[in-house]
This record gives sequence, C-alpha cells and structure tokens, in this order.
Amino acid sequence: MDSVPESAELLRLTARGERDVFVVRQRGREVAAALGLDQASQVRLATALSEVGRYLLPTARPTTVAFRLVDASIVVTLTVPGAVPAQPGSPLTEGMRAAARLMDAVEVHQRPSSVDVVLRRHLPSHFAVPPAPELARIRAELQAVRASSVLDELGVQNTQLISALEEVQTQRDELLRLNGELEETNRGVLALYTQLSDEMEQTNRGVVALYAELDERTAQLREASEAKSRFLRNVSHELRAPITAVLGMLRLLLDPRSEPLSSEQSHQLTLASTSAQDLLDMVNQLLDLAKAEANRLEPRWGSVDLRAVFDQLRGTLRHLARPDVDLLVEDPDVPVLVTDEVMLVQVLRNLLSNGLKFTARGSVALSARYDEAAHRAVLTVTDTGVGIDPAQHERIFEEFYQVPGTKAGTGLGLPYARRLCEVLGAELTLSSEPGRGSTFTVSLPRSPGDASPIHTTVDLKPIPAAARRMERVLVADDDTMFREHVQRLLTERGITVTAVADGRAALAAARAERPDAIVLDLRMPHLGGLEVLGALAEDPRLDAVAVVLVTEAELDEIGMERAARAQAVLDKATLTDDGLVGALYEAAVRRGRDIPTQRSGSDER
Amino acid sequence: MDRVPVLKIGDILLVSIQVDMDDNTALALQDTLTERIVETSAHGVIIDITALDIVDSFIGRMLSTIASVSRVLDAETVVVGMRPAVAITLVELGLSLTGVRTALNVERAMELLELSRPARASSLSVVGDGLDVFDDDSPVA
Repeated sequence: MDSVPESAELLRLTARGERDVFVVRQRGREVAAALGLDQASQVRLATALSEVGRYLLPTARPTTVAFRLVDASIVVTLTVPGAVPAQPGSPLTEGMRAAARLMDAVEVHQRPSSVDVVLRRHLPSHFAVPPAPELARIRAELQAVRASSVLDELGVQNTQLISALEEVQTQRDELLRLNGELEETNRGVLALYTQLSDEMEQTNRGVVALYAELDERTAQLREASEAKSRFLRNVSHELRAPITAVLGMLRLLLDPRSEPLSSEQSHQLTLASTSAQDLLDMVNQLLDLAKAEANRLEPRWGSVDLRAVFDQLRGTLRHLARPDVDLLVEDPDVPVLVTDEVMLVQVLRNLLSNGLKFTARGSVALSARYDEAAHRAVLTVTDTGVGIDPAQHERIFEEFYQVPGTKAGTGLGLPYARRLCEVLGAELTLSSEPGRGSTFTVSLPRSPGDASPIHTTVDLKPIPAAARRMERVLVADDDTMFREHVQRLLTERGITVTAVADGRAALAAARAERPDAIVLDLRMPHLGGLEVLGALAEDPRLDAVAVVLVTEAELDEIGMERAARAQAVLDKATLTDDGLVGALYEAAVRRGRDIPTQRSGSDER
Repeated sequence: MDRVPVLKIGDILLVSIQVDMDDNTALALQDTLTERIVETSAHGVIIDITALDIVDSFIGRMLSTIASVSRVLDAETVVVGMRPAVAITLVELGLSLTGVRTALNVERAMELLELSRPARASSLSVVGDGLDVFDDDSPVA
C-alpha cells in the first residue's frame, strides 16, 4: 500500500447531457472491473453513479468525472461548474440518498465556482491494492478504451459544436454591439447633418440679406453718382462764366490797340492768359464728362475725312510735344467715315495729349488703317513713354484716377475719351507695359450702322435697304428760313420734301403721305414737336417713320422721355448740313431696326 | 432517439428493453405500450430486462409506473430476465417495484399470465383476488 501514491487517478472524463449518464456509469463499471472487483460491486458502483448522474448531468454543463484510488477506496468525484441546488428534498439530494445506500460515503462540497459530488467505496478487505506498474497498466487500458469510444468521439464533437455555437453567440453579441455603435454613430452623423444644414440655412439667410443690402447700396451709389454728375454739371457751368470773363479781360489787356504794356507785364499777362485757358479747358472737360454721364451726349453724324482730322490734330498738338519728342501723324488711307467729327477729334486729342504728357523722349505716333471685313477704321496712338502697369489698365479709365507717381493731368481725359467712344460705337483698348510705352487703339465703325458687333451684321442686312428708301421727308418748322434751307438741302439730294409750318399740319401731312422721315421742330404753334411725337407714337400706321427732332433748347429729363419716339435730337444752333443729312439716314436705319420687319413688308407702296 | 420495440404474441405484448433508458425513451415506451394495449386488447405485458446491466431507481420507478398504467387498462405486467447483481442492487437501493410481478424468463411469465386469465375473465371479484395475489408476491421470483 505504501508503494501506491496517496491518490492515484485512474481515469478522468468530461460528461455533458443526459445521455452521458450511461457513459459515466459504463466507465465506472469498467474501472471497477479493471481493479478486479466482483460483478455485484461493479453494478453497485455503476448504479450509484447513475443515481447521482441522472440529476447532475442533464444541466448540460460539462461535468468532470474523476476516478481515483485513495487509501484503499474508490473515490469518484463529479465536478459541476456553477451552483446546483442541494438543499434537502431537491432531486440531487434524492439521488445522493439512493447512492448512499450503495456507497460508503457520499458528500457534496459547494465551492465558489463549482460543486463537487464525491462518492467513496471502501475496497473489500481481501482486496489487494495493485502495485504502481499494475495501476499504470490499468490506467493505460482505460484510457485506450476511452479513445476508441464512439460516445466520447461524439462528446468531443459535441463539445466542439458547443464551443462553435458559443463562438457564434459571441460573434452575434459582437455584431449586436457593433450595430449599436453604428446606430449611435448614425445618430451622431444625423445630428451633425441637421446642425450643418441649420448652419447652411442661416448662412443662406445671411447671404440673402447681404444681397438685399448690396442692392440697396447699389441704388444709393447710383443716386450718389447722379448727384455727383449734377453737381459737376452745375459747378462747371458756374465756373465757366467767370473764367470766360477773365479771359476776355486778359485778351483786352493784351490787345495791341489797348494801352502799351512793359514787356514784363506782357509776359505775366500771357502766363495768366495761358493759365486761364488751361482752367477753361479743364472746366470744359468736366462739363463734357458730366454731360456724358447724364447720357446727354448725342452724336451729330456726318461725313468725316480722317485726313483732315489728322491734319488738324498735327497742327494743334505739335506745340505740346517736348523737345526730345516727335509727334508723328501719318496720312491715313481710310475711306470717308460717318461719325461725329467733334467727338472723334476730342478722343484722338485726348489720347495724343495724354501720350505727349507722359513721354519724355522718343515719339508719339498716330496711325490709321481700315479693316474691310469688319467695316471698321482702326486708329492707333502709340507712345514711347512711361507705360502703364497692367493692373492699372482698367483704372485709368476711371474718373479722376491717376497712375500713382504721376503728377500731370486731371484724370479726366481718358475716361471722357472712353465715354465718347461708347457714344460713337467705337472700342477703346489699351496695351501697355511699364517702361515700354503705351498703345491706345480705337476701333471705329465706318458708319453707325456698322457699330454693332460683327457677328450680328447678318441680322442687320435689311437696314441699308431701309435706308435707301429715303425718298420722302416731311419738314415741320415754323422757322421759314430753316424750313427752306432744309428743303433745298434735301431736294439737292433727290429727296421729295414736304414742308409745313405747324404741328397740326405736320400730323395731317404725315398721315396723308406717310414719309420715310420727319424733321420736326420742338417749338411750333398749335401743336408742339413733343405733342406731334405723342400722336405719331399712337398711330401704328406711322410706325416706320423715322423722326429727327431739332431744337434750340436743351431738353430736360421729362422732355427726353417724351422725345423717345424720335431717333435723334439735334441742336439747331450747331447743326451742319452734313450733320442733318447724316442724322436723317441714321434715324431711318435705327427706326428700321427697331420696328418689326413684317410691317415694312406689308407697307410696300 | 432509441425506440423500444413492442412485440405481440397472442394476447400478450412483449417488450424487450435493449437500450439504456432516459426520460424521453421511458415516456415514449409508456405511450407506445398503452396505445398497443388498447389497440390489441392485450391482457398481459412481459418486460424483458435481460439486456440491462444496471437498473437504478429511475428504471425501477418507470417499471412500476408501466405496471400501474397497464393494470388500469386491464393488462398484467411481468418483468423477466433480471440479473442477480441487478437484483442485489435493487434490494440495496430499497426499491420494492410495487405492483410489478417478476418471473425468471419469458416462458415462466407466459405461464403465469395464462394462469391468471380465467380468474380475471370470470368476475370483478376475481380481479380483486388477482390484485391480492400480486400484493403477496415477492419481487424476486
């Protein structure tokens, strides 16, 4: 007995589920048989295991069953994880009571995480405990049997299945947890989205409010701009009178017929006179600009020969050039243009004097060529002066803007030139680099009919045809001199002229004869020009008739509005023959463009 | 699920338990047997437990229950083929197998059932006698 270890384990197995009861008690029987116990003892041990196992194993928890040989007793320990109700009266207690009848001792040990049920049976006194090698052989045999047991195989598979199931359960839990997290994130994203869209909406409202404010500011700015123009116009008018007076006085003083002056006085007076003249020029520029801003510049169309214009400019501007600067004015090879000569000269003069102002040495050149395809004359003013930074190219056309670092000039010349170009239908462009001089280009239409961009010329094809139909003109003016002058002027050009002396007659003649154009005086007895215009506007049969309004007075705002039916408003005091004829043709062209072509088609006479 | 076969020999049903019984098998056997008794009007049931090495209190109770139910259905139950070691263990466990008659083998059981038949068929009082006879029987034949 001493050679045997105190507790020699013979077999250990794990059982689970009701069916394993049979395995456990079969193993118990085998253990007893292996130890050499008799049939009854084998059945006794097996039955005891059955009694206990029927109540322990169906819990489906893995139960460890260990068979040991301790102090000449067979000790079977069944270990169940977790708690098992073992109070008196419970099924387990019943099973244990039954087992106790067959065994020497049955005990329950409640442990923190498991329950041990221990069955103990003393070996019969005649029974000799096998020596250690014998025990080892028995153990090996038992385990060999165990390995081949199908039920154990099933048990192993079962265990694997259960662990797989547990894993699946774990994964499902994990999935649920992840799902929960995702939902949480989703809620977060949704909240964020809501917040963002709220913010966007708020920003949007802000932008809308900003736009409204901008609109308001724009209106305010426009008002301010108009106020400025009005102020400029008024101030310039007020300034012009005294300067004219001063100039007159100076001229009287310098007149050779007046009292003789000392050469010093004469020199000083000349200086004063020059300054006054400069001042007058500036005031005139201001006034022109103010007029341009109020859109009161009306071109007086007439035939213009660029050669004459260039000659004039060459003569008047030569003295402005500095000693080291050449003013080069080419002889242009350009057909006669229909434009406003005064305005064109003004534009070119401004550009040239600007170039001369900013050129210390080198040359300022004026050249012209004719673009046949576009029906445009291209006039170029090139200087070798200081040049202009590209960033300033647009700003120099702003009023009172001066390129930083320059002193000369009022800052009015270029903006005014651009205004005039707009009125003439011309484009004023600039290419320049600092230190390399500047080139201003004026692209001037041959006639007002060509003023539109090239790509629309196809649409305007009918216009010359309409203009050619200038056969009958009605002249309405109470001024006999003017009336007869115009009649003679137009008759010379093969136009049939009907002349009337008042508005009522003019209306009657217009209705009766339906002329191609009417030259209408503003102030007439019985019916004024504006009233005639109103009657014409209401008569659809007279839609095709072009109207040129002639007047001695400047029209106010309301007058301008009422005169909208007229294609041109001409100042009688400054009117030239060419100007009137040009304006008539231009008016016919404009009228032909404004009214629908179908009317001219049905109107064939 | 293992099933226990129920065989019919004349007006006797023979049940041979060859497998280890658990709760479900026991209930299934009980159901099958009662149905078959009604179906065949059997007057006797022989349960052969030769194949059982171990009879614990669960099996004991099951045999008792089957016997009781069968008797209510007018069929006597005899358990045969019990092994000596099993018998010893049953006694040690203190199981009395109330209402269950036993015989050494199937042949003896059929004789036993044949003997009780005329009495049973005659009158109700004889049935009562039969019951008395059962009570007097020792569990071990």
